[in-house]
Amino acid sequence: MSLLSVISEGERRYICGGIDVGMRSDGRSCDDYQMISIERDVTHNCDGSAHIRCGHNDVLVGIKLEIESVVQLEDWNQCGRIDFSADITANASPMFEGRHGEDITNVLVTLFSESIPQCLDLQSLVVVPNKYFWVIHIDIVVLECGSLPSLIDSAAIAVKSALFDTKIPSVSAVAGDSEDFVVSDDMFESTRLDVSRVPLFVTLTRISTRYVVDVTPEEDEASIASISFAINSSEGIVYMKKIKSGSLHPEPIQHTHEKVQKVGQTLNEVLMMKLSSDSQNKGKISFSLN
Amino acid sequence: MSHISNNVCIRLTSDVSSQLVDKSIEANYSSKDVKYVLPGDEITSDQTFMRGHGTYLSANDTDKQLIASIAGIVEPINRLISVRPLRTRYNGEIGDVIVGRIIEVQNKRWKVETNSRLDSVLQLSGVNLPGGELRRKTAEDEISMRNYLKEGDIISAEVQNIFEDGALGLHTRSLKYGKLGQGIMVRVSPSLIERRKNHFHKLPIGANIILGNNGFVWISQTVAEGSESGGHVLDFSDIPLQEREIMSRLRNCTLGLAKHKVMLNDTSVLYAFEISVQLAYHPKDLLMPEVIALIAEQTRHRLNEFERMDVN
Repeated sequence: MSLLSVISEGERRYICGGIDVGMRSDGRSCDDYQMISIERDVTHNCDGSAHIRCGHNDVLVGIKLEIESVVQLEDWNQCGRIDFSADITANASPMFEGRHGEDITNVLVTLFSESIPQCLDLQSLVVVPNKYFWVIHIDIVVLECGSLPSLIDSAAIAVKSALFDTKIPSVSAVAGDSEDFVVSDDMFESTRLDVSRVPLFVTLTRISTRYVVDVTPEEDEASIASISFAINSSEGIVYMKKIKSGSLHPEPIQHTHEKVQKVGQTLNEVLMMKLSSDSQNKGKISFSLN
Repeated sequence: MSHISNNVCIRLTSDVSSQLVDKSIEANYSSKDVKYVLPGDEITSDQTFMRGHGTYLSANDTDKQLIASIAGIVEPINRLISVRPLRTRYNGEIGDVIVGRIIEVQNKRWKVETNSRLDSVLQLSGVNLPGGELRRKTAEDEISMRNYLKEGDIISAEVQNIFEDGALGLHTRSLKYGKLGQGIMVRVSPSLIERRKNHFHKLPIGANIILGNNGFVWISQTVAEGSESGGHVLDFSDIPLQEREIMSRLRNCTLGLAKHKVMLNDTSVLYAFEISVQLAYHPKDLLMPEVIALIAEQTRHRLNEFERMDVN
């Protein structure tokens, strides 16, 4: 799933040998992430947005809110809805032109829509009971793709940052009419979502004898398969899915649970700390390509 | 600034110093007499100069000026002025040493990816047979091409000729060229690699580096003298941890220098390596932007001193 279609036998041997002794090609250990740089509120026409860069991955997430009315009252489950969509731009590589990037975007959409909605309080998204509710549209744009396993992790960080950044306009009922409402235009009168339970993804990739975090495209070519874990601070691992078509032995996976929990907790803590520390608006931070 | 726990480092984009980029351009600008131009910049009004690549005469009839058409550095050679682009695909010259990756196996030739506008061509007649024997290639050789080089393999080669359409013709007709074994490939811009007499460097720190003119750099372990086999016999034995650390450090230094637009040659890469060892950085610390900026700056400083001593 990268620009690299295949690597040489010499590179493969070097990568596998390095991981066996815990020293990867760039000096990192098997549990180290590359530096992640985050930027909030980049797209001003979105209600929430974030831009994440990590290694060769560059992801932009924009969140827009929409009010929808209940169609069939019996079928409705008394809560709002979250809708994911992902797009990989041909700017990343000509091979993503047209529909060719769908392999990657389908994986992202499936993983996130199966793991994230259950961790958000969707009942708070009801505007008028039995009538109107908020729909959160989360759009993921992949501007650059290194390897699919590391892209999943970066996209999850971007989604959580964007959800943290999302401002839900406050809604007030029109006096005298129990069904009508007014959406406030004031941007300071808004509420935020509680994202404390939103999970982050840690994708472990099996290369030679070990499981490795945050793989480069070359390492991804030398790998067998990957497993994506969704972890949040309160519940631990909430979701797990295997990526790629290699075969994995179940026993080593059990041994990785502790490591995955630890890495996931660290990631969650550090991210929340960074996002909270950025809350004071230091003025407009513009989108930079460097 | 940034929170670094054991494994995870997250920082806000606004924290990353935006001065890093300006410093490298500033340093390059002040160290030598280079003139940077952008498309549309006037180079000279003097009509006696000949126009080279990257320039054109302005359309004004009254006062014709020589104007740059690309972003780059002005290169005056006697009365010819051309602009060398800062960012470009590799333009091959005959005699260049390149490192490339095989992308296709065709009838009596291989297609090699060298970061040029067209795929380069390595013909079956341009490779050595195992053992260095010299004979005409037979039909059996054609069929067993894939046994020697297949898709994904990395080779070092020399540019033999340039075809009419601009594609490069390569050859590996020397025992020092051929298929490469275990190592790390690093991609940088071709403009950062100087044309030198020797591109295969055995560094005293305990690693080998091949600086391909096309921007592909190959880092591998030190090979014993006289064991070059033209890539037919490859060493796949385990590489010990210390050597891996040296290679990782070298890789990060090379990428760091490339990011800060320092010309890559055996001297600059060696200086960067030594500085990173002196400052006691672990190879993975060299992935941090401020660390690599510091090392690039000190390397540039040391290279300038070396040049000044040379001149004196």
